[in-house]
Amino acid sequence: MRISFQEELDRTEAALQEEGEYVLRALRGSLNALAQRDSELADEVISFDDDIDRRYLEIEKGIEALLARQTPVASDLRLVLALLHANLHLERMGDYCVTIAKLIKLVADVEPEQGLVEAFTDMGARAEGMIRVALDSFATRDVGGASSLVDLDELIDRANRRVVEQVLPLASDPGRLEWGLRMITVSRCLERIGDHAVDIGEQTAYLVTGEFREFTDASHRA
Amino acid sequence: MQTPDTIVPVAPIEVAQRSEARPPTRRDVVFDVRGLTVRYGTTVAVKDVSLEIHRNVVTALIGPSGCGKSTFIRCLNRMNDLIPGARVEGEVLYNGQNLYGPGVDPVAVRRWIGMVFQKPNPFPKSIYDNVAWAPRVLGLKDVDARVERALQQAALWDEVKDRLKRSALALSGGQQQRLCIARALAVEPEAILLDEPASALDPIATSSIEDLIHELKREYTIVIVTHNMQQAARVADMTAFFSLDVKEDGSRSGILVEYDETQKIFTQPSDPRTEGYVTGRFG
Repeated sequence: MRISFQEELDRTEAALQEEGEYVLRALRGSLNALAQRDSELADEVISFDDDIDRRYLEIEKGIEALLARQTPVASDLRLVLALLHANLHLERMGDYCVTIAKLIKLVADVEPEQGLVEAFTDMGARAEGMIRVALDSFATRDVGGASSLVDLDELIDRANRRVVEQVLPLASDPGRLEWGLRMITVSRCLERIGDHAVDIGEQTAYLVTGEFREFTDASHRA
Repeated sequence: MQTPDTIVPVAPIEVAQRSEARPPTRRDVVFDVRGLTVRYGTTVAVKDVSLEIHRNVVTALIGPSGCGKSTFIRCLNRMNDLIPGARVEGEVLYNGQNLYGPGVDPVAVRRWIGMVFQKPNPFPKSIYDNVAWAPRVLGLKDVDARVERALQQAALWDEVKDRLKRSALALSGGQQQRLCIARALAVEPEAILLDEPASALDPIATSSIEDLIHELKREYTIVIVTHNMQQAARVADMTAFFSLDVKEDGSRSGILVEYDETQKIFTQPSDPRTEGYVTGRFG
């Protein structure tokens, strides 16, 4: 029953997973550009965001059509709403990758602080892992996997808090201080990517349970 | 013909009291149906249905053809009495009194619980006479005022006030259906039962009936059977999903699968059979 509707839903969900793969490529590109001080790669990350945005808009239009023409209800409605939110979260992650790439270009001629670069490699790998968990648990409707994102996010948050301490010693060298200040923003971008992965996890939980809730909030950490 | 006085037990609520705006509460039960089973000969049309219908609330009954939703709604004002071979078990408590109890006059029941059918069925009389008929038969006073009030409540007055003496059959389908609703309202019932009231109407007439249902629920308790799920989603506060229970021997009977707030039914139904039906994946 409703074969074409089911196909449209499947297509939209596949497009979301594809958008997720695009975001992973953008993130990997921005991390490599950072580690290798590669402005050319940073430019590629920036222009690649158009591809992510195109995917985002296609999904958005597809969902608009689904709502207008198919009037989804029950689990179909929850899937459509979850796709709508997850789509926006992925698009935002892509934007953070662009910000990282732009910051890298601004300080491309400054010698980086190796300790921090390693910290970012570690944070970036965690962020990639979180995106994968978010996409996989969405695809498999795995609420347990989705809620594990809270613990993973805590590790990125901790790393982010340590970055300022690592930047402070650079204050005596104005050239490297600018690099350090830019890197605080890079750190913040990676931390926000983790937050969006948690948000996708919350959409998975809504999709499965029908309950709107945040895994954590500002005053009550998990 | 019975006078209203003889059925006071089933009509404990004065119209004046009812007209005061009161927020609907889940506890304010008008119909309390308990273990209702209806048979037509050997066929079980409805099996062991229990549910409560609340005051000033629109309750929709949805489900596939043959699931017993029309049979069920007809039990709420004893319309099934008119069908040969129909047998009813269980209780339909209306304001606490069993409509199928001894000594209850079905005609009096229908005085308090009006019904409107799928196909508009005005009498071949004038617009005025259609609405005035029941108040006259019941010997009610101020028939003119009742007719005007009923036509206004049915959102038809402005369209017909200058041609009340013309034939009702000259009205459009949507107007005829609103006339039938006005006819039901003219005796100031407490509850209105609507059996597919808009399925023979075009989208504009349907929309005016739905607007009317929203208005009427302030004063009346409304139960509506509809094939159109989106209509249930639009107009109903509560929705009951009926389905067919098919036994191994092939016998079929209508059962109540799920009854909940409409929003719950259309966002997060509890039963997979409801999910299958409302998402259009019912086999």
